[in-house]
Amino acid sequence: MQVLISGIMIGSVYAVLALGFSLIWGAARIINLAYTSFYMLAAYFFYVGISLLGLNIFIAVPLSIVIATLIGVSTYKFCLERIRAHDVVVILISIALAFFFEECILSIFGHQFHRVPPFISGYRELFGVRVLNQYFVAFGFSVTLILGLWIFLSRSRIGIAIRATSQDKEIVNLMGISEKRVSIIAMIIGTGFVTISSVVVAPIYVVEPSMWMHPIIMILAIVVLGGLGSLKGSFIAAYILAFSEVAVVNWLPMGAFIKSAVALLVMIIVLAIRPEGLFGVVFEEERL
Amino acid sequence: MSKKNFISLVSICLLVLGASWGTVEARKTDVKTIKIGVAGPMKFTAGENHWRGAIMARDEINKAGGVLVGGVKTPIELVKVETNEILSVSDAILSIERAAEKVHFFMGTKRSESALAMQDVAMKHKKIFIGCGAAHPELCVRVAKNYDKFKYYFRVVINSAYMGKILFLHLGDVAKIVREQLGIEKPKVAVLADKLKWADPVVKAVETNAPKMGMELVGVWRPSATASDVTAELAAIKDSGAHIIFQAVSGPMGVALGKQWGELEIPAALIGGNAHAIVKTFWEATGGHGHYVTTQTGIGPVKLTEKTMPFWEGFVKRFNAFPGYESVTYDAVYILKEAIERAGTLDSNDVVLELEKTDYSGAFGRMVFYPRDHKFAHDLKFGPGYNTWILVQWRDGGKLVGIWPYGWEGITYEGSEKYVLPPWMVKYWKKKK
Amino acid sequence: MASLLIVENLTKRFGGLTAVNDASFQIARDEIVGLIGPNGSGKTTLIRLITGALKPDAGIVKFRGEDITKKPSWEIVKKGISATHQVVRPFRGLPIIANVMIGCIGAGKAKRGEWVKRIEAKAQDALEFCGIAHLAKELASVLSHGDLTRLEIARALATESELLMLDEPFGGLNPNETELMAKSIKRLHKGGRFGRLHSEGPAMLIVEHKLAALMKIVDRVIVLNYGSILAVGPPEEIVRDEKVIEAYMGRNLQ
Ligand SMILES: Nc1ncnc2c1ncn2[C@@H]1O[C@H](COP(=O)(O)OP(=O)(O)OP(=O)(O)O)[C@@H](O)[C@H]1O
Ligand SMILES: [Mg+2]
Repeated sequence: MQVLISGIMIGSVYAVLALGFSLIWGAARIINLAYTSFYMLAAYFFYVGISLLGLNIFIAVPLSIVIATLIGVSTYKFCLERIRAHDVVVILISIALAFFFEECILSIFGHQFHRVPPFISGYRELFGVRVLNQYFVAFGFSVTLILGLWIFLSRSRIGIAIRATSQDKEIVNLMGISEKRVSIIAMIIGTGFVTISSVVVAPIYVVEPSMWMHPIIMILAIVVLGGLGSLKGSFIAAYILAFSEVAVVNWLPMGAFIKSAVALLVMIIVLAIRPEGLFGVVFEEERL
Repeated sequence: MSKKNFISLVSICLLVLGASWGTVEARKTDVKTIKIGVAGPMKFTAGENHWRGAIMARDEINKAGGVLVGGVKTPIELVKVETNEILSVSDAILSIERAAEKVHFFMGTKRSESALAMQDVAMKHKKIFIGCGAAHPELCVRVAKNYDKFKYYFRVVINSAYMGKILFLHLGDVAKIVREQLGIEKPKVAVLADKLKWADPVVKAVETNAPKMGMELVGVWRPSATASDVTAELAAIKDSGAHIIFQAVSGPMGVALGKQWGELEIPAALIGGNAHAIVKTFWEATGGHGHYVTTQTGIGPVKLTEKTMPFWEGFVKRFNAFPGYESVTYDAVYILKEAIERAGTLDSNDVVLELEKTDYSGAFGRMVFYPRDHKFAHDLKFGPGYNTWILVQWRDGGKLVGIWPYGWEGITYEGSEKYVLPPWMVKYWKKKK
Repeated sequence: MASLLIVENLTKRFGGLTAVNDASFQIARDEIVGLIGPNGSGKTTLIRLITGALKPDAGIVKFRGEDITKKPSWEIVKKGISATHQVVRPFRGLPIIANVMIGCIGAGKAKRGEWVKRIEAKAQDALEFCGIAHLAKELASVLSHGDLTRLEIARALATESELLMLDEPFGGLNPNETELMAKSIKRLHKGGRFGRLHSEGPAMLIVEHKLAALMKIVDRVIVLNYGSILAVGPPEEIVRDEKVIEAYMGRNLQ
């Protein structure tokens, strides 16, 4: 039971993070390793807003989401868009950016640990398992975002354009849609996903300068497992990895430290059997 | 100005600057100062503690004229050595290699994996290195095994084997409280330790000793030291029916642990060691949920010696932070000063011989080193009457109180109080009956 | 009547190869023009230059009097030019209907806030026009070659453009189907309302190797050879033109 509940909760958070990442990869074709830097930034802005400036939570939360997203999108616009054809360069630059953001945070806030308050404090018992109320909040937000994204992509004009763009940019342009604009929109949504999940999970975790690392590793594992660019794949892979993490903690406590490693192992096994990922598009087909 | 000219101009400027900086450096060495390299992860609390403890000692000593070497009062100069050891062993090695030429002595270190490598480098350069953080026994076992090579290494924190010993002495106390207060005959213990080398002997010690002490071990959880979410681990521990969680945590995970444990009101006493729980901001960072967490440290607001409270209060006043055990550099600087004064020289070999004779009553308690034929040669001597370290517990409103030793071998330092179980835990187990 | 499209001295080189060489021609609003020429003569390249997918080395393209040579292709589409591609490139991972909806969305004709439902209905009509409405919900990756050609046309149609350029619209079709498709094209050109899809009857530029079918529907033919325009004229004259016959290596064009 505990595995089930924790798995679903954690999986939903992972799913949101991975979907945002996949969306950006799909539309803008960049592997942005600085992606979770905006997760970190949003958490810090939240902290600054609520603890240092004493803002109301209803102001601090949206404000930090908006500012962090803006920074994320500008980073893309001014640093990555130009070079996005060169995959390796994008990866290198985005890693550099991630460390740059960490250094910035370090030099301003130091290696202190900070905390942001939960939206709803305390915990609740669900089938005998104690779950932080904030986890329910995070779960609610995640489900809303996932459903919202699904409806958006299948029912809205821009959503359809984003899906088309992730398949063939050139043709999208030749169909009268500015692929650049679509990428920016996808970028805003994707970054919005990461910043929103940041402010809802930050109260569960601790706010610190290296908080971006674990999520980006998990995201990479998830998107590779799910098949790069496949949203459905990312979604399912997020739960697979979350469940394997939680299962390790419960059934193999000595190995709790390898929980991420086990998750990565699951990824490697799946990849050995299906190199394109669970739902990945085989490359040649995609390129045709 | 053409681009090319501009570039050559800039390079000339740089060259000139570099050269003048070099001569300034050279002149500095003419001015007689005793240079101590304070080596630590300066961006982390541990390194901050190293530095802060050392500058407090330096300021006091220099104000009084300095260190008397061969009849000359010589001021102390501290050199900050960023080791980045938490993140990178190779950075740590390089930092010592680079600084070795510039300083007479080293002190510091935090992470054992890096400390072992840094020790090698310092020994190669025959530089005295006073360990003020990393606690793995191996660091001093090496001294005993290969004295000639490693004799320049001393340590002013007790090693992790003794830390473990203290922790399970306290575990016994808590088990007794659980038995008496909750009427549970055979308390269940869960171990939660981060996956770092220093914690291995601690985990092993609890594993072997808990059953002997009439407790049942329900599991060992070892999340990564940098994990930010241990709610899954905590839920699993609660499931296991544990009454006591024995923590051995040095990484940032400790903050998340304290916070999530308190917030979820996990009905098990959280005891043991948590490096981040001796940071003043722990209370703020856990949003007050760190209440009732205990941890182990080298100093607290209790009277270990006459020097303890003045140092503690001076430190809090100056830095608005609690001195962590790594700020034992404060005592280390004094110990070094006295050894140098006795030796009358800065020569490493002579100072080593004097350091071995140390019996110093410092802010962190009595400091005596094990002799060279002891299995932990040059390690800080542990025991009643010597150095004991202490345990502290967080209480209402962010107060830190000493809770161990509390009657052990007849020792109760002034200012200590009895350990208390978290009230939600008492309520939970009473209801369960 | 003023020409809808004016191409002046258009030149495109690929390395040493001049794929389109100093080509100039015009297309009127009510015309349907055939573009023929041997393999590799530059027909596809010419279309790609007009849609902005390629940028010319020299020359200009004017549409409704406006110079569009330097405009990005998505803007050109919005102005009313669309094209199908000889090498079909559907969005394989999307349902067929969504493929066509992209055309509706891109043309910008769909009014702001227009319901997706309405766009979907339009797309459905475009599919119907091309005879593949029954496949609307399938993924594009399941289509046969002929159906893919139809999808290309439906997609271009959905942009409701004023100038429609078709690159080998009979590709992959058997003679019967070719006949049908030719008729549909003619009907489309004449204009009218196809369900919810309002078509004013676009001007057309059609590239084809199946000359017999082509000649029946076009008003005028442009012949390309080695990137240069070899001849322009009504179909009856072109098929008798000595130079053209020579370019086609004596093949009987009738
Ligand atoms: N992107 C390109 N790079 C280099 N050369 C190209 C490119 N595209 C076309 N060409 C060359 O330009 C010439 C004209 O090609 P194009 O595709 O326009 O001919 P076409 O008339 O459409 O031929 P077909 O009837 O076979 O479709 C050919 O020699 C072709 O190899
Ligand atoms: Mg062609």
